[in-house]
Amino acid sequence: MRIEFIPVDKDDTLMFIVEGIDATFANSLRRAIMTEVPVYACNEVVFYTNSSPLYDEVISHRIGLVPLTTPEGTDKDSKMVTMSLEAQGPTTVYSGSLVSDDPSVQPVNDEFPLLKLGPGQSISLNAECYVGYGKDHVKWQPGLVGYKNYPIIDVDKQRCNLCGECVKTCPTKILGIEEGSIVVLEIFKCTFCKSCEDACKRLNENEIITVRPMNDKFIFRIESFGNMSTKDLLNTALNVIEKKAERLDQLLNE
Amino acid sequence: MIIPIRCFTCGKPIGHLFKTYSERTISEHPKDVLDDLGLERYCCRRMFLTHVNLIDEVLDFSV
Repeated sequence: MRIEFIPVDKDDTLMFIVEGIDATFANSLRRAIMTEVPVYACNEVVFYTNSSPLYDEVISHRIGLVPLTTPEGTDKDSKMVTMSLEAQGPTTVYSGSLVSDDPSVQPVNDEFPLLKLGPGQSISLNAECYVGYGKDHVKWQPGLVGYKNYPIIDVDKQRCNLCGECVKTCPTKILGIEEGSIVVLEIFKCTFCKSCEDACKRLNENEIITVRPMNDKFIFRIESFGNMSTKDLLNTALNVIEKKAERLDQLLNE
Repeated sequence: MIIPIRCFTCGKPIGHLFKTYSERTISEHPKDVLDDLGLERYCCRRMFLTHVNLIDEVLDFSV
């Protein structure tokens, strides 16, 4: 297995190419990151006063969806964290007003609008945050992962007449003409739309350029929602897969 | 009503971007603002484009 990282200009995104795995492993890695990484999220809210126009259920749902920072080493048995919220109208209440009893578990951003209060309205509540998994509810989903096969773009140099139609048609603009031949500039941006094939066929009546997927090479893209870094997400998910595989091995040996 | 915390489809947190979005779209084109905010997928982009901020209309009432 070979891994090569692709530089991305965003902090919350990680892109890499893996060679030597099959689609089943690629998908299990994707699913492990999205559904099996333990993170904190608010699961129960106790209301003391709520005279805002929003129902208790709406407010608790919104608080639940706010992503919370999750310290390293968190697992299912990590302790509950309580957050309290108190506000007097008229104001917009942001996630920054949530006071956590554990400084390592906080909303990832203080700017999430939770509710709005009119003059004379007030809110007072306690939110209980538990560790959970993305497979149970999106609020515990720490990120988004996608993968696609690595593309192979073949150009028959002998038959290519450099009409440039494929370069013009490509919607992601990854083809170019350099030194008298068609070159691929950023291959990982290919979407397999095959517009280049169609354009070539239309003009030249045979397929000079072909695009096909590689079945053992994948381009991964991990996007973190802020609960933890993309690197930690990947590490935790790989540990989860390892533990599951060990457990299966143990059961098979029994 | 009030801007959702996350995108309905992909789950990306987007609520915290609404303040910037609504301030900037007064003078700028929504496309440029959404690009600057880093919203690439059309599921997240429609959360802003189709949102109607009715919270101020119901503020006079309480449950």
